[in-house]
Amino acid sequence: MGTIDYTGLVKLLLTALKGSLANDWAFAKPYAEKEARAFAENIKMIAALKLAGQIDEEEARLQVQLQKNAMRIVLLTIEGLGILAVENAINAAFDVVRSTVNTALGWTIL
Amino acid sequence: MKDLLFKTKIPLVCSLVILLLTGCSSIRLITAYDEVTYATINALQEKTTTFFVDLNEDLGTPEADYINHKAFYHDARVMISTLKLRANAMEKNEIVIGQINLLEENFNTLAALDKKGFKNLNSIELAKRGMDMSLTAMIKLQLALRRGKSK
Repeated sequence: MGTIDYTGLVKLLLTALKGSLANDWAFAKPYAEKEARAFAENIKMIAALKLAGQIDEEEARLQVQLQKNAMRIVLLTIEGLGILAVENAINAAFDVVRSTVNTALGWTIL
Repeated sequence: MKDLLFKTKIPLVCSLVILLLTGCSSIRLITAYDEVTYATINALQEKTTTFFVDLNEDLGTPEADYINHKAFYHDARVMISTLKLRANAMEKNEIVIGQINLLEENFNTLAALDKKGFKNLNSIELAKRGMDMSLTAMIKLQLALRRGKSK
């Protein structure tokens, strides 16, 4: 493995995450940042262990694969949290409309 | 300003009223919370934690060999199969299905690492971090679905 800019890697990860979560970034940001840092740290550790001869090429590949899939699971969670946020917002809007219409008409029609 | 109001808020309110009038009391964009799924992921997380604690203690001894871990991988496969079956039966569950498939791949990767043999605590720690990240993420989503259910 060549030299890796781990700070840059975290920034790239956060930028990529931000791009896919534009609307719910404020909600998902703390969790996304924490996991992006953890992922970069784990990749750094894999590289260090390989350079130190503590793991071979095959193990490094398997460890990277495990970390990549873990990060994919994290991204799916963030996507799910975003969808939930939208769902809750729309349903809250439903409640407002329902209350407003029923109050305005004086009848419970919705 | 009035133009903006006409272009955004009024159409939105009209859309919501129409949806309400057609009988939609609420919408669902993602799967509902499922207690069995949550409990199974938690149980799998507990089993995996136990596995890594034992592995740390057994490192350098015959107990750390893959052959002694077959029951763990068998149990994990059974639980993942249960998760898959349940997830595929639920609507709007593509995200959780995707997570389960990736988790299954991670258990296969863990088994491959185990078969090679963990040589040091750092290797074990790395694998543990990856599995913890995976399972924690899945639990986090389930907890959010449960909170959404209570609203």
